[in-house]
Amino acid sequence: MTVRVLVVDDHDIVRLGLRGLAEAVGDWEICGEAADGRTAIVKAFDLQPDVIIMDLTMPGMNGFETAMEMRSVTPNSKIILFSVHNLPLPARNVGADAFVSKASGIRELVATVERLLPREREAETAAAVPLS
Amino acid sequence: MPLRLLIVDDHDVVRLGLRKLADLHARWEVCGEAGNGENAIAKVEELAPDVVILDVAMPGMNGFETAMRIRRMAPATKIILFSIQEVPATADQVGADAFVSKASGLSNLVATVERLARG
Repeated sequence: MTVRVLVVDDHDIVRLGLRGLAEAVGDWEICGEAADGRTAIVKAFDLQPDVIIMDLTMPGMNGFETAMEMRSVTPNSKIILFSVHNLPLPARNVGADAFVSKASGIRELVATVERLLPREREAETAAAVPLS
Repeated sequence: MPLRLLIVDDHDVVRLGLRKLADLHARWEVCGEAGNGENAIAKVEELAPDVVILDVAMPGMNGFETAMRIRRMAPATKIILFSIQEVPATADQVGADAFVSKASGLSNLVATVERLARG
């Protein structure tokens, strides 16, 4: 099952790194990118991604504000805040499904995506297995 | 002749991005990576890179201290500070050849690497 990912970070080096991660993981597809919250909301509405990986500190709307607005335009997307900053509250309290620190690494990010989407993956796998 | 780069950043997503960037430039070759200043210094000694792309905020030794030590041990190596932070003085005063803000974009970093490689 391909996981469609929207990447949101004002630093293009991070967006490029996440593209590299998607290639390494294999079943992630970067369906879009955004460098600020307002663009991210438009892209999220258009693309309806499975997962949104989003920075906290961005010019204009920050990740918290963006996550809260995204909830209404793409309610089924999983939102992961991915930041150098620590989160003062649980992710859910700020409109996200998870928080991953950039310091904890890409392995943690991959594990978080896997954790947030397992049921859908299992269902797809079950559906793909032919009944004999 | 390849341009040999050492990438130093405590965030592996940034190191991965720099590797992807290097892939886009035929002459660039990432000869090594480090996640902190101490490892960076060891890698400079081992690999003698042409250019070090060096983060500023890292656990333990920060980029400024790391740059100063690399400068002493490998004076011919070009050092680019690549950070979200502002540099308090000119890059040269903190032991580097250039400073590129992560916010300024990859084209700025590419141009800086190419400029330093030309000597």
